[in-house]
Amino acid sequence: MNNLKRREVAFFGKITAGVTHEINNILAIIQESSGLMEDILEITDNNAFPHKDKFIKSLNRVNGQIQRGIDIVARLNWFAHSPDHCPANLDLNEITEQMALLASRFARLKNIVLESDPSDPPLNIKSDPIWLIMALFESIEILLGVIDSGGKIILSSQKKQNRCVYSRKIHKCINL
Amino acid sequence: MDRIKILLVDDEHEFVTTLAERLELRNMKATIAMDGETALGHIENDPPQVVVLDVMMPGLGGLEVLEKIKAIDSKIQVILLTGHGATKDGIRGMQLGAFDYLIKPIDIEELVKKLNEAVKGMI
Repeated sequence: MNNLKRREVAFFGKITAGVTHEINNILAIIQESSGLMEDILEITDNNAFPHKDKFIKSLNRVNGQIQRGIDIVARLNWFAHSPDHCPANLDLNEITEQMALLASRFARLKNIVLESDPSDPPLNIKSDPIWLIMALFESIEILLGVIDSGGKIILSSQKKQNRCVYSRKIHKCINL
Repeated sequence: MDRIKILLVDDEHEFVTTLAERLELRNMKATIAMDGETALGHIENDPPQVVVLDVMMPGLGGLEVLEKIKAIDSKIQVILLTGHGATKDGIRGMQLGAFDYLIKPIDIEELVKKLNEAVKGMI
């Protein structure tokens, strides 16, 4: 990647990382506010608070969505920071897991399940993180284009003859 | 048992006031500051047992505030709050004398556990 391209990528990464910090702060406030409501409900007598159980159910739903938001923001933050160092020491299990999660929406829209299967022992390589992430994402996109609805893709990394390679298991693949 | 005295330092007003209320409900005495300078003023006048300190703040950054707290009174325990992707700051903070660090958004029960451990570590 030339210097100009690298600066462009770094720019998008920096802005995105900044925004994820802001969203994180918002989620932290919502989480604490919801938690405070739970704390107050806990010390409130059932008879003194009509529909207490419905409030608790609603708060549980809010908490579930907060957690979902936190997970998404954490993944986006990881992605935004990926151009920070190049070349970088990369944990292929971490990259596979993060990319399976980041691309899961694209898979879900096609009714395909996308999962990662960590290698044991974990594999580490020194490489350009952006190129690796892009290559992995493009592979996922290609697979999503050829697998029928209801299929499943499992991504994992392996060591073969002193080289690290990605492999994928495909279930219910009909149109290859 | 005496209530644990905590100073919460974070520039997000809604976050820090709500967290203080939750800690009060858990029988802790929480004071708030929204920037490093104000926090240092509190520490000089009415030292807490533990400071919960956000790393990323405008003006004096969390790590800078941590160093100043330790220069004022090395016995005051500091728990840092970092964001995702900023665990390096947490590790750096522990090298500078922080008791521990937590990633925001935090789990209140985990924070309470750390606060109790931090106070025990002072004895």
